[in-house]
Amino acid sequence: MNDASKNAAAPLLSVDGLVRHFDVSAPFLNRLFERLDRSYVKAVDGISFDIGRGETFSLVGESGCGKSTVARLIVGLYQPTAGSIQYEGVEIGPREAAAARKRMQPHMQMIFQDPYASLNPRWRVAEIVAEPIHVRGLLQGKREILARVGELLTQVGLSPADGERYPHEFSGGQRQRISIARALAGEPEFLVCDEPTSALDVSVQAQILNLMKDLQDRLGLTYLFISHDLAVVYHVSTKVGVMYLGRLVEWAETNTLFENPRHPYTRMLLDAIPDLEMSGRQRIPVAGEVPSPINPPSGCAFHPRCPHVEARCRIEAPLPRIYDGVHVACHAVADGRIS
Amino acid sequence: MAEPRGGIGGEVPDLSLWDRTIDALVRARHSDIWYSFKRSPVTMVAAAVTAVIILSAVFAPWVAPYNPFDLATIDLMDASLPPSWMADGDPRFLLGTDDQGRGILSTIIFGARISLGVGFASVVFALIVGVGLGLISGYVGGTVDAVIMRVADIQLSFPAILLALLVDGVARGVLPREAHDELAIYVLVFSIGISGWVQYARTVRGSTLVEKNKEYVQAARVIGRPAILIILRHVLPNVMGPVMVIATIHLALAIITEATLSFLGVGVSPTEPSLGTLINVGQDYLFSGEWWIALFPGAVLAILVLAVNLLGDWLRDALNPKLR
Amino acid sequence: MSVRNLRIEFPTRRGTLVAVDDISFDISPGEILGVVGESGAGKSLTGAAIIGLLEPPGRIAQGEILLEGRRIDNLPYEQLRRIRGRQIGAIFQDPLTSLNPLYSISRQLVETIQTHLPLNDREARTRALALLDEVGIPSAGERIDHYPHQFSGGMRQRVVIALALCAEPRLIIADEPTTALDVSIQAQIISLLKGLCHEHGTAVMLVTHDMGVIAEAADRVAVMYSGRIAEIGPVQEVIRTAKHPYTHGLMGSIPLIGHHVKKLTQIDGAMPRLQEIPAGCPFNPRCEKVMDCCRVERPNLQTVQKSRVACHLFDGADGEARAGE
Repeated sequence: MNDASKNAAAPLLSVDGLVRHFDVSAPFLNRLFERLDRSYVKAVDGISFDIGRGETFSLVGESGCGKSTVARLIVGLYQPTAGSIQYEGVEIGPREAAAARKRMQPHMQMIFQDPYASLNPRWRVAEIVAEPIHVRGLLQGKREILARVGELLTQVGLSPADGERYPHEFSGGQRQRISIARALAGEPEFLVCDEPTSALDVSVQAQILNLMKDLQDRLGLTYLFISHDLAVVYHVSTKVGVMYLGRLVEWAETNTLFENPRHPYTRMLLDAIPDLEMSGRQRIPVAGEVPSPINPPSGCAFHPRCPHVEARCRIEAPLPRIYDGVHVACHAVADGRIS
Repeated sequence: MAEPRGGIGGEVPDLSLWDRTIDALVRARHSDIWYSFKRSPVTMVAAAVTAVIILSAVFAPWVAPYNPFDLATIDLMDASLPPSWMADGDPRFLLGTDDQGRGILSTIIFGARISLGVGFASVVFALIVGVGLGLISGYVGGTVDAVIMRVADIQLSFPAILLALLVDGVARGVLPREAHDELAIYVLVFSIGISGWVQYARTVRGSTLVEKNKEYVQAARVIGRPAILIILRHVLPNVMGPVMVIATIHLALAIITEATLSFLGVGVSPTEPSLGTLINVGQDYLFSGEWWIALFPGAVLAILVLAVNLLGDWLRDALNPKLR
Repeated sequence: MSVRNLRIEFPTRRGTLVAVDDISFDISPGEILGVVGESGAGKSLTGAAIIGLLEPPGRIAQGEILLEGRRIDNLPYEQLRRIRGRQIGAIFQDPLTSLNPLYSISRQLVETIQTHLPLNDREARTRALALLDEVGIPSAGERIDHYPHQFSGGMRQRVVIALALCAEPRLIIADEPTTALDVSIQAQIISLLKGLCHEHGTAVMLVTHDMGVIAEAADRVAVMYSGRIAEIGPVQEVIRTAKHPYTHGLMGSIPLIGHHVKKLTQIDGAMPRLQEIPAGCPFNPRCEKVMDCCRVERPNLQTVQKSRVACHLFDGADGEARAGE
């Protein structure tokens, strides 16, 4: 556990109070005539976590909880509305930190969900994989670059000869391998994976997950893994954060979180997983649905679905507190009403 | 763990321009477009007609029996001859001659050259302006987008002909007379082109908005490509499909507009007539019985425009999987 | 409901593709048959063929589909349409596309009810209300006049289920009914579907790629691979003691909470494309236990315990012993 304490001291990536609101107001003229206010989706509403070097940190949650937005904020596809993102201690979040962002950007790469949309259909695979090499100027000379591309394709389980083909000639799993090869071409140390296996069949998902673990061991990569599938998250991650309506409700070491979930929402999610072992465990289907993030419930956003709700939950949003290394944002846990 | 693939050897071949060209041809040969082309006889006839007209226009000096602009070959004695199959016809002039003794067939071939030239040039002009602005509008968004699109809206509220007349009128007023005659073609290209860019811009903007949010564009952003390169290398090739359809249909429209303007007398000068000019000249003789001077250029114009339009329709259907 | 030797073909200009090849199965009243497989295994096509919604150029080349002993695959369109609404209900993946956005829920329900049952407006509306109540839509009386976009994804799927139940069909084809939904909503929909079918004695064919959903809802499961049934049997037996090497690999590739494994079992390669299905057993290039006969001879379904498995491993008497390893 020595390593862990060292990681905690100097995280590779640290996010503090990250906020991103999207303007979803009606057009100006409509607002003027219909007397509407501007409205915002609070996609990410104050999130803090750290990722240590070599870890896999997963964010789980249902659709619309803002987990993909967090991924895109970290790689700079979106500008944060507020809050800080520090990479190796360097602030790269705010607009003013554009120069630092540019310096740090090459260290991170992203893998996307849709293997059909994430590769330019008009480029050959070799060109797609070589793009980061060109942009970063890692290698000069056609021959060197092609040799490197061949090496990368081999690394992800394809053949160098595949480089001359076009994306549409490959299956979903193979395309995801190409995506991974492209991400690795930039020689990153930090990979953000946004639902990399959600669009794949289970047997192919297993191939990709194994490949990603394998690469992590060999190249010492750090992952931020976004997924809605708790079983996948359990399998790949060292730490897990559970998101609900733009907030992180609980984050902890994977084993701790799955063995002893504290937040009622985490418990609910775990309960909802289909029982594949057919152990006959009786599941309690969870009532209710995720509210709209445009108009989230007051106080704790989970209160309308929470079995432990109290008057206070409806008014006051709980702040995350640490219990034995587990970060939980819940009044009931704080008051000791649930262990 | 490798998925078995049928690759040969371990070397990535060099991706030269030649390879690409061959590859593109091979792909086109097997593609659905080629298939749907072969299955549509109407399209094949339209393509053949268009090809004949375009080729004879391009190679006019070799194809045409005479050069109607070469004063040395014109003999006023041959003026106003009817087509060769009529009683007074002359076998040298298949479609007869005009009032100055120029062979109608030759003037049509040379006229089509100017019509097509102006048409193509205006389409290229509109395409470059429209696609460029559409890409910027869609990719950058925000105020830039709003400004470009409002200009497009305003532009759209003027009919193309009116706009072209306006541009031409202004050019006439500003430029000295001789200069205007010399520049007439460019003014024409500019005025037809400028009235057509909006359609390109709108279509490209729409496609760009879609492509911009696709993950391959986001991947390029994460990789750190500058925006301009993302637009040119990633977005542009993926929005060109619909643009080609518009361009084909626009070509037909541009040829008509040119003919209309020339017919109205604001187009190219009668010394180097386009099809429109020929019809304009010919209509003066309609009532004196020399119908062939106006009729044959008119027929060629109609056939050309119809053929190009049919091609455009087919291309639109072929590129749109939903209609197949 | 029975399917006998069904074969679905897609004639294309590069030759005929066989998407579903000689499959047979039965579903009894009140039973939920799960049909599971990877994308392209032919599971959705089988469902579409039963409802008669196979998209051209796809066509049934062989075999028959029987509903309560009556053949329905060769009926003329008009008759088939009547049966489709009256006796076979359908639930699709995307609830938004199964509902007409321009009509209120009540109008869609009442119309469907009146098409199939001789009820007047008031009676039909009462029935619609009862149905909405039954599928668990809170304050149904209020929400019945809402439009589809006013419902959330889970609620919409409930409305679709209500629509499918309108005419009290004998059979429901549910094609990936929970795929577009969040996990917590998935669980709600599955238990709803399960409860309703057992109650009404409706047979259900549940098509999905999600083993979890199958484990949760189905009584029996058919595992499809390359347009053929690899294994069919009681859900417990198939999941716990998978016999076909494909099913076995498939189960191992699913990560499980509480089971720490360094690496997931993985089946190398991918399902062959339709034009490249190998001779013999379609799974042979990826199979770890491949034998010579697998490359030549196509295995037939044979009974092993309570399941039926298409694998040469189970040829002959000592089949079970060999599979035991």
